[in-house]
Amino acid sequence: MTLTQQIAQFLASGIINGTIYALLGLGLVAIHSATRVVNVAQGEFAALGALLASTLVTRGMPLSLAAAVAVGVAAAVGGGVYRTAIRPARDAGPLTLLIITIALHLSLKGLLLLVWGTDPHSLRPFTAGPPLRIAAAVVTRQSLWVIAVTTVVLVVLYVFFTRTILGKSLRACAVNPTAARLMGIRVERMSALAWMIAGALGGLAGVLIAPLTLATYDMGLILGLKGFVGAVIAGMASYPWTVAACILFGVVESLGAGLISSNYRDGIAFGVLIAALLWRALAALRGGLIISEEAAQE
Amino acid sequence: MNAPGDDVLLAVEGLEAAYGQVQAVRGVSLSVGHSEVVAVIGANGAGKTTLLRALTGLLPSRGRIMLGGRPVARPSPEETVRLGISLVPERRQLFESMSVRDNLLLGAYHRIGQESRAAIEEDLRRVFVLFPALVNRTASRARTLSGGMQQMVAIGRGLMARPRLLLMDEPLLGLAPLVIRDILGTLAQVQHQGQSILIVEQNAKAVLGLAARAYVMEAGRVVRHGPATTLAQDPAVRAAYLGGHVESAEG
Amino acid sequence: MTTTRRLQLAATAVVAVLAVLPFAVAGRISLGIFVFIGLFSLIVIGLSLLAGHAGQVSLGQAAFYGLGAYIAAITTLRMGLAPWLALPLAVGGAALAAYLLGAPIFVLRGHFLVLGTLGLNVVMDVLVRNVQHLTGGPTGLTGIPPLSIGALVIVGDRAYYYLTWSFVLAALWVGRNLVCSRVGRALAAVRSSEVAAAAVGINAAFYKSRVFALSGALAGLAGALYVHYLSFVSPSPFAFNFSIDLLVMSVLGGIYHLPGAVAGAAIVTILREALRTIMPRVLGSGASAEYEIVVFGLLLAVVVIFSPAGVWPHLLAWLRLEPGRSSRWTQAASLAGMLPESPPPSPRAEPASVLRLEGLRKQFGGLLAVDNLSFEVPAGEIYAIIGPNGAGKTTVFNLISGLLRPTRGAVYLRGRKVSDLPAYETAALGVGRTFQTPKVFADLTVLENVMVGLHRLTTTSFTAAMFGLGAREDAQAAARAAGYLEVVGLLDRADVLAGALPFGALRLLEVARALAIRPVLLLLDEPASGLSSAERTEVVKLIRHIRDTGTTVVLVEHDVGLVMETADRVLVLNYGQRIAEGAPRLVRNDPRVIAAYLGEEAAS
Repeated sequence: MTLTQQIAQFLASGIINGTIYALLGLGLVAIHSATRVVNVAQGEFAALGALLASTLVTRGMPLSLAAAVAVGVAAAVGGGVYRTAIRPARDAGPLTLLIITIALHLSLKGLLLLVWGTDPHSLRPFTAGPPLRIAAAVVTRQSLWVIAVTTVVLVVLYVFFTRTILGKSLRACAVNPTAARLMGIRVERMSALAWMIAGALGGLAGVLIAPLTLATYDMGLILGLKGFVGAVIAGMASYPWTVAACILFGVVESLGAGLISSNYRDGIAFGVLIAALLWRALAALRGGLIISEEAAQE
Repeated sequence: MNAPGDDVLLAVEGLEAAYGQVQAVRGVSLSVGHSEVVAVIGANGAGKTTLLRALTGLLPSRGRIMLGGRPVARPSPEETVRLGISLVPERRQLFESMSVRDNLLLGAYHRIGQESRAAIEEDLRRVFVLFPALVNRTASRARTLSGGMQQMVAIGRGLMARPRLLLMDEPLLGLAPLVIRDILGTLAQVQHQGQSILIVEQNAKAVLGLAARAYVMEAGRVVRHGPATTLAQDPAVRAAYLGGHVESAEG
Repeated sequence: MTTTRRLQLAATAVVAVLAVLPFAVAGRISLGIFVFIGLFSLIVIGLSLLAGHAGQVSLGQAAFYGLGAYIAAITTLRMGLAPWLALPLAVGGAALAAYLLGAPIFVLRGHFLVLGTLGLNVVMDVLVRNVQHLTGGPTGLTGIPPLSIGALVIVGDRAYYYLTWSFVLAALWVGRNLVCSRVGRALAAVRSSEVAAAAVGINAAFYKSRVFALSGALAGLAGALYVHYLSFVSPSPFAFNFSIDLLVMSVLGGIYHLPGAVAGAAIVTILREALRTIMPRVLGSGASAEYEIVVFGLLLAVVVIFSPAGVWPHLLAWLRLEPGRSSRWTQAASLAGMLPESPPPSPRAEPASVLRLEGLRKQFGGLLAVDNLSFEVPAGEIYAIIGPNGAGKTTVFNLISGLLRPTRGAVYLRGRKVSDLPAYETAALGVGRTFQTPKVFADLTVLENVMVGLHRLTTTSFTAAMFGLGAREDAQAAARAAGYLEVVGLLDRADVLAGALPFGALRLLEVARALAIRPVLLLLDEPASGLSSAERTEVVKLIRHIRDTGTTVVLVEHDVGLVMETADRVLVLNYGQRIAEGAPRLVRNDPRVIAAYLGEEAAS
């Protein structure tokens, strides 16, 4: 393989990984903007989706149905987690909520371990067939599924947030919860909805990636954290920028791992995370803001 | 002083509410009739905002709240807006990153699904007739508007709920007198259309011209009430609330 | 018997038990588990200081633990360094790594440290496993020499037990000193309101990064002790999972009480041992030790939701040892009148203008909040800014005090450009301010709030505070703070928690705190709003008094009457632009002001 081909290959796999990270990053942003919680357990939704879909298909369920069930269950778990663990403590400080999501990460991971054990589970690709050649890169059919499904999801999310009253009221809760309550919007239901959306997005990421890698009970943390990297680079607020940042991050990670050594893959990924944090810190130092510009407008 | 039975829209008896340790409402009773504008005046910290927060259920309270002859038990803001009480909150509290149109539309949130889309669109047009200045800014983000226009959006958003009773918290706070005149004019128009309003305001002079009756609050209690014209002539009220900043500025 | 006395007795009893424990358990239980409880306690004390007092969570303490361990192992084994020299290297290396990571991240505020430390933990693990020629890779290094000082070689469970627990007691002492010091008060202020802390000159990132470095140092120390104790090191004990275990210990024990760290470490370690013997019996021999994460996850969730302060307060209550709220500064407060009032910050021989704004502009997205604003305030003046809400008055204050950066233009304080400085530096140069909605430090007393105002005029350093060297200065600071409370009339409430004050008193407390920084320029944001007419009269008097003692005052106010009464000159703003400036009498009659601000009211 020539260097050009190699780089094309790394680019392609970077974009595909980045797309998966973007699904997780979007979920994190949804939760953070609605409930101001940084959800360390986001990746567990993906692990749940992947493991559940894999088991359902093994038991003979059609793949499309299994995928739908897995995403639905992940969404329900997202809502359930909000109800049982986050809402009772919603008035506690951000520190407490953060620790609760760490606890959630442990508990969910533990439950996955109890149900599925430590063995990896596989899921067959959505469509069979040999990989396709696109430009200089060889791309599996499943990878195209990843990109196609994610694109559809992004369009649906865009329409949801800008064209539907439900989406607008969800945004309203994020912008000003008190005013939203005065409009009759049930903020807690909207928060639960945000967690369900995050659960669904996580579950979907798991279903999409399971055929490419294998599903294991502990696959979540690293995936969720990589979604975090993109969301943090994009400032934990903007959906489109989160997608862009996640894809960029996927590409950097893939190029780094490919050109240096795949043993260092996660090291490179989190080196980028630390670099991104430092970069944002420098930008903040230059800006020198201590209060948000919105808060400053009286 | 309370209006006779049939005319009473809102009747509050012995309302008690605490707001941290800072402000409190201590046994307030008041009423608002159908199509009536009632003002609550008083210095900052007298408990006016707490009163409105208690009425909408943003704060827990004790005492009796009756709307249209039926008790409002354990109010929560999500419920009271459905019962027909809508609040235009202090400092506007707009959805700042959202468009003017979306802000207004969300005002009608609890009607969506209950009423036709056309009815809501019709009310949207009604708001733009009341506030023509907003017509060209429908797509602008609320935070880019001037203070006066933001207040117009806040009032319009309150009206979009089609409330039986509109509560307003300091709608004139910090606005230039020219803008105050415009907004008072619009409120008079709204009242002529039959809207009941309970308005809390520090700018007693401006609001006593609009309201039929008024209550004066001090330290969490109603200390005086009566027809607005009577209160405006009351020497004690004049000294305390009409003297303040307006007249000293006249020199 | 008083609680204090009982606490002393209890502490003595604990030390005595620790001292005789090796002899008591000899031959029955391995002392090793107690060595590990001590090592974990060291790390968790650091983590609790970080979470409970600096308000930050780290998910990377295992990485610093590992860093200490590997530095000690590599320097002694590969470089032949004496272990007693390697120990400070390990501590220093871990502290430095924490500082270098923390210092920039804390600039971001928010909870980004969690992500950064987590990333560090993963990077560290990858490096340790892959840089095999140094670390020995996954199998690790063996044959690490024990600690020795001269001919004294420290080997065996008992020696490391005493060594480790001596360090634990020392760490508790250092932590307690820190919490009760000038630095501790600054951290409490930052937790309560970062903006208000900056307004008295506290650089939050500075102290947070030092606390984080200290927590790194403690973890590094534990790591070094660990390798010399076991003479063996491999990557697995320092992986991410252990960082989570440490957090569980910290939260379980209680992050607000340092001894809770020891309790947490002990409970988790013993529980784990118990689980390892019980779980296989219950779940069959196939049950792996990994199932304990379920237990720990649920334990963590339950503790955080139902008792966010951990078990320590319950433990104290059960032993009837709750300390009463100390009023340690009461005596100092009685000295209020005995210290001479501070002289004004500078005599009259200073540049004519204290504050100068040049072409200042601030844009928020599409909204122009301040538009090409210039004005100058000479020393000793009371200057008022009035204008309708949204006119940009508070934005001007935020620009002057450094909370916001101007889009264009500059702010000069006594001829020095300050608009490119962070807020805490501007405050240190003598810009004091109050806020429209008072921001006091609710969980400090009234007196301590003002002592925080003295932050930049006191000097106890982080290191000095660790060793309890600031007591004298603290007493003086308390006396000076009491003086400022006397000025605003709050001295009789010096020991009340600031969160319990009524509204009017909050405004006065803010003024006292701002005066404590000895401001050249005092910015008062609506000092009279929300006050009764009696309080308002007091505030007018106070503003005049402040000016008479040499501080220039700029105030924003809606109460035009108050402005006319007190101000020497008035600036009228509308939509971010200046529409008039001058003596109150002139401004009042300016036709533009009448048209735009006073409107028909004045015209009629």
